Amino acid sequence: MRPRLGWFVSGLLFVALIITGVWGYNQHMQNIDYNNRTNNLYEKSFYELVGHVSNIETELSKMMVSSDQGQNIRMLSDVWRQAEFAGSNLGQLPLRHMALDKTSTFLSQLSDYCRYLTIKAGEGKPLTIEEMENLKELYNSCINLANELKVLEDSVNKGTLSWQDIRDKGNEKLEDVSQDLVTRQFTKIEETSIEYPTLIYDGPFSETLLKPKKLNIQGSNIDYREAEKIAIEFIGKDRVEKAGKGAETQGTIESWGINLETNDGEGPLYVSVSKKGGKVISVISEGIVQNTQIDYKEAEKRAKDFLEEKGYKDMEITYGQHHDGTAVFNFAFTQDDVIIYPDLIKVKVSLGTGNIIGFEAMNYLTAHRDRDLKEPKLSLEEAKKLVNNNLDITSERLAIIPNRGGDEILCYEFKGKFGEDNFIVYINADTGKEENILKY
Amino acid sequence: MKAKQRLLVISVLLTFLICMSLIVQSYIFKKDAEEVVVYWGMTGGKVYEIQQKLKQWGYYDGPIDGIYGAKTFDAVKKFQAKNGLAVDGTVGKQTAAAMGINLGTASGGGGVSAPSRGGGGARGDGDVYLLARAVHGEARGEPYLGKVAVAAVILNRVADPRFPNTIAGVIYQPGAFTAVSDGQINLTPDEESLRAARDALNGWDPTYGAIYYYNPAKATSSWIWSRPVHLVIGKHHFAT
Repeated sequence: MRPRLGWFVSGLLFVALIITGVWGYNQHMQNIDYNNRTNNLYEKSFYELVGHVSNIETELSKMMVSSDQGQNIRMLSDVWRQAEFAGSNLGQLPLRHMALDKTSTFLSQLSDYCRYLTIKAGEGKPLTIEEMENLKELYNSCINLANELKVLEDSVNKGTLSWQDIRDKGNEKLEDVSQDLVTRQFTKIEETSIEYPTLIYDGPFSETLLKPKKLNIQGSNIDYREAEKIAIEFIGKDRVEKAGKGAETQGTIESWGINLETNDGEGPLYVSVSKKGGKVISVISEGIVQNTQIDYKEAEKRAKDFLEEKGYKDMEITYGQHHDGTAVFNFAFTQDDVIIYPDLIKVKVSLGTGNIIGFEAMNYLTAHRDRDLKEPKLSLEEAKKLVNNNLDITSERLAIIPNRGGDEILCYEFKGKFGEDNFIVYINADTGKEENILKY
Repeated sequence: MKAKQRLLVISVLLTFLICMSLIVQSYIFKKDAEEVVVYWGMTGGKVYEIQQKLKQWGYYDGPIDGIYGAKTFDAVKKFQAKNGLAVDGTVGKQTAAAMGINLGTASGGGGVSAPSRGGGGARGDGDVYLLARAVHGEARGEPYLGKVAVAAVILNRVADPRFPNTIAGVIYQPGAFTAVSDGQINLTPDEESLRAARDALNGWDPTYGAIYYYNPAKATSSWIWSRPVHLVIGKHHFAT
């Protein structure tokens, strides 16, 4: 009896061992396979990055000696494109982003700046001396970047570098991370190699736009008690059941946070009130709506009435959308029949109760001011002639729109149709330049 | 003595079973993933795709929200009846083929995300869904405000030259988000995350420009502590 049991047990164990062994081996092979695949993706990103940076270097160097406008456009657009790709490749490397801050900024701005110059050159305007100087500086930084990358490329080529290790180390403390070659090399690039001019131009990564926005509100500082009162007043005393202190913000925008419990079943409202001047900056709530009882038109009216009641006069609806039983409306300020898009306020309405469950006035509170609107140099008729004949114009008016660099431009706005699609075309009211086309 | 023997036999059998089940499991899971059916109650990228197609062809007049509800169900049935398919209101292999949709093996849906810089550019529904997945993975259990804040940080990074210029680029930057590293981003996002993502895309930003956040109980990097904290929501500290 006993020996048989012993045989049975050891036999079973033996089979189990074999199966586990085979299984473990398979897992091991699979692991190697996955490691290789991720490593290959990292390598691809890295080699592409090196390739793009060296192409950029070449193109920029040619820029230094070219005098032909057509050539310039081709080279600038090439740098724009390659810098964009390089930035995207850089973002795929398994390095802590702190090590890449400056390199990434450099590539983003280089791409953005060359885009701006391409467009400018396309309009027939030659590059200014200052712009050529900027390009020269960018070129010098690019040479340094390319050289540092070559050091890395050598060790990648020799196979002494494992991206997997770097990735794993990236999760540890910063002190340890700085040990590996890649991070060290990138830190070196960050610290010494990249120096570039302050680029101020018409584009989203222009230096002027990267400064944080400031609220344009006058008045003295308020304490939390006052802020709470303002928040309750804003939502409506009869709707508020309970108020409590919420998230307070510091930094360039200082605000008090107030959490409000409401009695209309709309869930908590998170209200943010500026410390200076006591203005409501935003109201956020999830807005779970079970049954919709209010139609879209009615919601639109409620949003407009709400704004008027809160002292935001002359606001006009510019856009609306609805999702999951809530509607969000964009309002813009109007002055002398000119619609001013930078002064934007958003209002979210519950289609269940018709109550206001969201509000966002950040744009309005930073951009709004007394504007001195100048007479446009072009008449409406003159501007209209500049619109493409394909557009079947349905409405026209004057508008102030922000350009890519954050400046405001006075335009004629033409809404119209081409086939089934709706477009808005903006013609600069002074120069006649077609500033923008939107499809909606 | 007898009891000891029995214990031995049982433990050996158990070990054997566990090993076997582990091995079998890895194969079964692979098989399961091959048969994807989209049905009532599901949410996600594939539902978006189905709704979009149905709306395009006039079967569906509801919102394209990625939620498979009654309206989607009815529309699918109408589509199936018209196309000579089995009318069951679920989108299986054949219905999907008739719609020209590839159900694939993954439940996640990307969609095209236009590179949108500095708040400009068109943002499709694919962006909402991807952002919602990131929010769900990163901020489950946080208050709604904290979810909107996490989504806003991702969008602030897209607009920042120090980071990649697309939503997908920011989210999938290696090591940037733990939920991406450990795969939690692949969970199906709940309604709350979808709403939070949409609010953030609509311009709500409770952080007023933060580009970092961390959980002080878990943060391992000493570097992150040096960033100026702007606000605290739930467990997360938001910083620039």
